[in-house]
Amino acid sequence: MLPGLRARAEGAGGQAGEGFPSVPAPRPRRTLESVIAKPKPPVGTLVLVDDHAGFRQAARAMLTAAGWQVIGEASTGATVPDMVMRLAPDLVLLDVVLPDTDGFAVAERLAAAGCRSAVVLISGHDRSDFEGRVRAAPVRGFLAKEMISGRALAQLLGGDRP
Amino acid sequence: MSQPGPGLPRLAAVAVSASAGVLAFVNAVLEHRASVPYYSAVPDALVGWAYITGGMVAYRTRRLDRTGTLMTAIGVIWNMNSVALYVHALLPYAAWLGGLVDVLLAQLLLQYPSRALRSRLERAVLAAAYVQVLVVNGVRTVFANLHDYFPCPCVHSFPTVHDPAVFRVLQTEVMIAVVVLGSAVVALVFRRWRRSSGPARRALNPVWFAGIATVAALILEALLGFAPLTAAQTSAEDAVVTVILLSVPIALLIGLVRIRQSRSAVADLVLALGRAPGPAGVRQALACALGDPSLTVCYWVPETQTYVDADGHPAAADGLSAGRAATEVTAHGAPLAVLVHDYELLDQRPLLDAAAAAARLALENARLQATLAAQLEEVRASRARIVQAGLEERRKVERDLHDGAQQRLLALSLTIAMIRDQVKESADHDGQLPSLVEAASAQICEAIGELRELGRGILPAVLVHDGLAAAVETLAALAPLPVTAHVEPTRHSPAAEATAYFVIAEALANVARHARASRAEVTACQSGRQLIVQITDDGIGGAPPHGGSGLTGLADRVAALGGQLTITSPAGHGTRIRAELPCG
Repeated sequence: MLPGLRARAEGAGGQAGEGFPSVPAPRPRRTLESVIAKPKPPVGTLVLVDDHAGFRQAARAMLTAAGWQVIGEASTGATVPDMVMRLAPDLVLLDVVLPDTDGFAVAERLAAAGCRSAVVLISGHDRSDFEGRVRAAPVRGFLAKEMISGRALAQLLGGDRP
Repeated sequence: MSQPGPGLPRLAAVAVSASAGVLAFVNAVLEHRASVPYYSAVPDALVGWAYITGGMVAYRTRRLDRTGTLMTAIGVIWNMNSVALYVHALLPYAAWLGGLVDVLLAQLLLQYPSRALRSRLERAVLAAAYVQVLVVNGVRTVFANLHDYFPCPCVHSFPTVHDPAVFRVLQTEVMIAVVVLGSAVVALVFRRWRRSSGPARRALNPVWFAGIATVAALILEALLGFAPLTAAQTSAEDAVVTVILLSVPIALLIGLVRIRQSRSAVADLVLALGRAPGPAGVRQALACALGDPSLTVCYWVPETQTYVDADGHPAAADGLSAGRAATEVTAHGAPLAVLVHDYELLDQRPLLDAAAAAARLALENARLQATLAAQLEEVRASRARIVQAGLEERRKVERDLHDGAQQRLLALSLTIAMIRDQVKESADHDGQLPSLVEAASAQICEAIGELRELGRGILPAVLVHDGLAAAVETLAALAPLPVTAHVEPTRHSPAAEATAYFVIAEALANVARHARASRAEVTACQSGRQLIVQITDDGIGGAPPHGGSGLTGLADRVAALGGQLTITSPAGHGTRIRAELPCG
């Protein structure tokens, strides 16, 4: 696991609940909201880069529920390197097709800037569409957007462990 | 213009001056006058004769009648001057009007070859020269003592007031005027020469050069008038000027010969037209015959009421550039073509007309070809536009699909996945809830998968974003048989890339469906301005030569881009599909 990720995971033990002010208070059970909103213990921080606001919203809710703390969002590639260097998240979820550039170029810039965050490319397209470039990119992996889940991310990040 | 040919009065004048010239020559040779050595009398008489002869020939030439008149006049006045050397009663008149030779020469040069003086400056200089000769020179002669110049008893009826002081002032003025006006004439003629161009120069050059040389010699003579020269020096100088004066009529005759030569060009044109039909041949033949390599031909298309060039492209309608002129050619009273040529060619109107007449039939033929070319061009362009628009439409639909419905489905799938996870963890749920949510999750993933395939079929994103090489790699990976792909990673125009992609996709689909092949190979490389795409398999061959319906549509699309699709499929020896696409 990444050093940052481990530190947060260890240090966050006693603070569950306090660290997520955006999470609404528990409601009566058996409603959708109560099911969705129930947080897991925090697993790390992430920055989400995608140009579709609707998708970001759904992804944020899902990742939050999976225990991720979404500390930054961006809809274009240009602002990403600055934001990531500033926030130093454990994970960057990076859409491949962005309005101003593409995820590969952003990943290159992050790597060039010495970013230590894990980068995972996401896309509405199939992996086979970008196979060669994904393999060559300085990223932890690729996830089709519908495959994003806490488990899939944990698998990708854990799989890197030496 | 009137029918060329000498009128009676001119003939009479010529006869008188001619006999006078003979008289002068005979006199000079027989009498050995001290003031007129015979070696100067010979060229003297020659000058008069040369100008008269040149003038007569020019007068018989179309459009050079004014030059001919002026030249004859110069010869007549010159001979008059010569006669005056022996008939002393004429001496003061010769001293007065002899300068007309210079002025007429200036007018000849300024009006050569067209009749009109083109600028106000030219008119002003010429008017000043006439005033100088007719008025100032007349007054000077009144104050002159002719005995100083001709040591002989002079009996004449010219009014004289002998006053050396006034005479000296006027004499100086006359010489200055010759220098100033002569220089102006040289400058103006030089300007005319520079402005003329192309074919006109060839015929006109000799006269202009000789004219400038002659006027320059006259200026030099006037300047030498300020220097004290011995009698021998003066007569030598006279002889030199006389010889130079001869150059103008000789040059004119050379120019006329050249014009005659250009007329025989029409005969050559007729032969050339027979040898080289077609728009390019007609243009070349006309350019050659008229001696204007820059000549272009535009054809009138009655259907569209426009002019087109030989290839059927619309001709520029925004008038002619400087120094160009247009000559319209009509057939049966309707416009046929326009020849755009050097402005100076207008001076050879008859040649132009003759050439146009000779080329009419060939021009009509060429127009037919140009019209066809124009229509073909239009069809080709519209076909390419349609394909382009279709591709653009595909691209837009794919993007809309991806950015719209698919993103919503993706968001929905995440929400459902989340619900699924939560339901699983939740202890108190309905018995059916987990399986229902699981089913919804699976369905949504299927829907997304189908939508993705749909988008890929419309126009794959990988092709748009990463180019043909990456897209073919994906195709190869998805194909049900082993496919080796050798595609250069260079990017081409979107139309070329998309067409190449669809050809490869359709060909690979055909291989999978019909060929019973064990493997296939795809290559794409740029050769010159073409993208060459080849798909080969080791299957049973025997594909119809024009492809199935899918390939026929693709062949149309390839052709619309200006490319070519060929299918080689001998039975039992596999199939090769080759597309050549312009990609510049």
